[in-house]
Amino acid sequence: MPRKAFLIFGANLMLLFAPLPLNSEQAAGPEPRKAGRVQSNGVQFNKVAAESGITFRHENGASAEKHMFETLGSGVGVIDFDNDGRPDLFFANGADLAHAKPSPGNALYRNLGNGKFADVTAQAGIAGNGMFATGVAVGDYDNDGYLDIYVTGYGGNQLFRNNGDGTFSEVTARAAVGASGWSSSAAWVDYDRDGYLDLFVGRYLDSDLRKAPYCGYHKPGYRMYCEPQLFDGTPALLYRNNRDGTFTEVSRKAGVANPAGKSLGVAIGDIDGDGWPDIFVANDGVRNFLYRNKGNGTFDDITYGAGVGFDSNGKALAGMGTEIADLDGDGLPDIFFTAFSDQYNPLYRNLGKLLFEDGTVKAGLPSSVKTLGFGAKVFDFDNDGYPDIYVTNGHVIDNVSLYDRRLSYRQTDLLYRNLGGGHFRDVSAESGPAFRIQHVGRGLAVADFDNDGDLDVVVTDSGGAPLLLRNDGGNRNHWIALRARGRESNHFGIGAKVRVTSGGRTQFREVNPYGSYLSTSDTRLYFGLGNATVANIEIEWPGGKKQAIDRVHTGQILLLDEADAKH
Amino acid sequence: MRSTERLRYYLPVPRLQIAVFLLASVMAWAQTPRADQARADRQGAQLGAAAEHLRQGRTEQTIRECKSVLAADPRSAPAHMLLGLAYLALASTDRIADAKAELQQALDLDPELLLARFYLARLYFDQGLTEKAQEQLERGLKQRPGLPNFLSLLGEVRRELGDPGASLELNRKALEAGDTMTPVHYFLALAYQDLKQEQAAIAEFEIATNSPYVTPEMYNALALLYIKNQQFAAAEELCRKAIAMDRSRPDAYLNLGRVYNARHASDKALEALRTALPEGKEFPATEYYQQLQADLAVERGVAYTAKKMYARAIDEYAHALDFDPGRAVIHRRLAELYLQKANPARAALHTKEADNLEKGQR
Repeated sequence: MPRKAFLIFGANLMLLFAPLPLNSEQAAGPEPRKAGRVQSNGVQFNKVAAESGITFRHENGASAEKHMFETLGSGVGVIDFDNDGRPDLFFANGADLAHAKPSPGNALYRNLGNGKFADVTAQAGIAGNGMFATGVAVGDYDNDGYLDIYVTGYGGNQLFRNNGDGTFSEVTARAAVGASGWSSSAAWVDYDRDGYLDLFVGRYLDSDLRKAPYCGYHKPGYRMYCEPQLFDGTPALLYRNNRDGTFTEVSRKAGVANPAGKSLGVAIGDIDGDGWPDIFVANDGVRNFLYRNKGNGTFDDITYGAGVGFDSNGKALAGMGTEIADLDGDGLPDIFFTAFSDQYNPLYRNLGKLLFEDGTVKAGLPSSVKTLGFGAKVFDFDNDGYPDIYVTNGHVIDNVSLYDRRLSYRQTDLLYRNLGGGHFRDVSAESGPAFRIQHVGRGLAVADFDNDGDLDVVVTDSGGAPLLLRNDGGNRNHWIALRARGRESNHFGIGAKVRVTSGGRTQFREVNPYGSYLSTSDTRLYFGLGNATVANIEIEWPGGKKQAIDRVHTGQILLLDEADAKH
Repeated sequence: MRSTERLRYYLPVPRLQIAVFLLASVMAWAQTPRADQARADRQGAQLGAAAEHLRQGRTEQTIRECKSVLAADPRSAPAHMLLGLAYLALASTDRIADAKAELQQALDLDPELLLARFYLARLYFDQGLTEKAQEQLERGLKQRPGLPNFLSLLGEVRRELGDPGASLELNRKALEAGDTMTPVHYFLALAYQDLKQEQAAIAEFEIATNSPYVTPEMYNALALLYIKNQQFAAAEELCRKAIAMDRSRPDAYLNLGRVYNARHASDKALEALRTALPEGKEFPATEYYQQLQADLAVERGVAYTAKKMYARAIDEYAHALDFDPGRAVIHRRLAELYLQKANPARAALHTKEADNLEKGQR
């Protein structure tokens, strides 16, 4: 992300950036790339939050009582709330609830397009009601062309409707999506394919602020946050959009209300390619849930059959952030999620026919056992055509080093470069100073904040300032970005499937800014194309219509309109 | 938190009931008309096999069968329940959450699965979540009034909540209802102990320990009373029986250490105490393990004092205070040891701290 911002639509940035010479053509299919192509390509992530004008600081409410909600941080949402083509930023904020202090408030930053952001929270009226806010799900639930914000939290959630004039109205009660308890990640998903976004809300523990059990040794300084197994879970919520600004809670009827859920991560994707969006829930300390959409308003919990509930030893992991994405290029969406220290971040490869295998070791990903991962995002940071993985880390126990000297509360992030075929290499050490920053990483989102063709990163820090990491050099390869405009489908085309073919390879992705942890990324879809200069694009809209565009020139942000699609 | 390791010892107790109940569940499940009867029959057979594996203590096979059933039918409540029971039978603290999740899902799918409710209550109780345990037990008793297992455990829950009288009443009701199983006598004994009726407690403990369904903690509880009454030989025998049942449980070794200390056999005491928590073994930072480590350190302190190794005894007592700073008696012992070492200033500090703690307790 260079300091200078570039124009948005239709600009062929390849005129400005010469592509890196690559020494062989792109391999088709999931074969690893040949030696010589696995070297670092010099992309650097540089911290720019301070000069960008983002002064947000997270309140995690850390107290001597060690309430569980103090540990999990809050997320970030990428939202182009004013439709000016520049992704803006919304930060959810926590609160010092143990001392009955309301939250300092969420924050909305408008992207000014010159590398700077302006705090517009007050004008927008989106600071929140003082609760401990956790997750951010951005989506246009009323199809008015403006992105709205759903904020989850401890003690109730809030829906902010974008009025289209730079302000928001809090419509939680009218929409009937307030929920209760402790919500975590949420995602907008048109599960019934009626053209309106519905809402899936993961919930975490049944934890009462008035009761904080004592955990850890009784020595001074040794009190620690308790393990989630001491608490009950809470069922997730599914709200069906009534298409009139209100929602109906259908969790139980739909079959997604498992009372044992301790959901932290939620990812959406059509894992069986039947056109109906499925839901994966990463749970903390109990098995995950993979809900297959049956297309009749209900879901089957196919976790046991699919083999994504446990690690390879049959044990449930402490799942945190999660992504559904095709990581090995076989056209089938795989599942990745982050987990606790002394666990690895597993990758479940989709074998088709609703079967998955734990492919973590084969993929070269187990280097994460000492870190505790939260946000994770699959994106092609170097635009070489292979989706990579960014993982932000930070322990939940602030005094963990007293119990285990190998571990630390503040940790560095990880960047895994996809070498092709779903084989990864940890390139954190060579990818810039950002990967030497010790912090308490939680939420993570990606967006092309400066519209220069490569994806930048924003990471929230529990109790600290967020990291805004500019991608410098990712746009040396060719790229194309797509903005979906639904007509019969939801306005931003959430759930649309896109296949981009260039250089003999086809990449598959869904328009889906959710996943990760408590966060929403750019609604635009970015494809790295390596040294290819043209690409063929196919899009399958959630409503079922299809559209194909051949020989599209790279280096532009292309608007795909469902009005141009055919049955 | 109480020790979740205790859970395993309650599985064998109603083993017969489990078998009967599961058979009934499986039969009812298999008789339900289904679109694919052949598949239903196959799953019924798998569930039956899983129940038999569990009854025979073949936990891993139970888990495998249940997962196989759930892969085909994720809404099979008996499979979720059996899987939950199998996780409990693994007796590993890191499977407790899995066990709870499966039992909860079983009940969500079929609230009439009383065995799942009972073990969910049991699990809550062992986690120290007594109010949640009480809620489940009371709900179960509303569904099926007078169920002896539920009455008995509810009694123990009420005792834990500070009402031993209620425990006596509920456990007696359980006996009247025909429940002759061991936990009733064990729970009665604990209630009598709370009411300071030691002879009645010993009588009930002895019934429990002579039952075929005895568990190590029953031996241990009675051993502690025998130690208190200076019946060291009988206490030692009970400790050895507890160890024979399960060599991995630390509390039996702790009691054995106490017996040897009381008999001035310090070296044997230290050896037993070393076995309780082998060096390098990891254990959770729970209340149970903290108290256990404090108790072990105290007994090592006693042993080293007897061997006149005062510096090591001081170290051990200080270690015990790290885990449980609220024990006045340890400060008293430290005060005595510092006096022995001609350090009256430190002795005075510990005496003062003991006085403060005792005042606070009053």
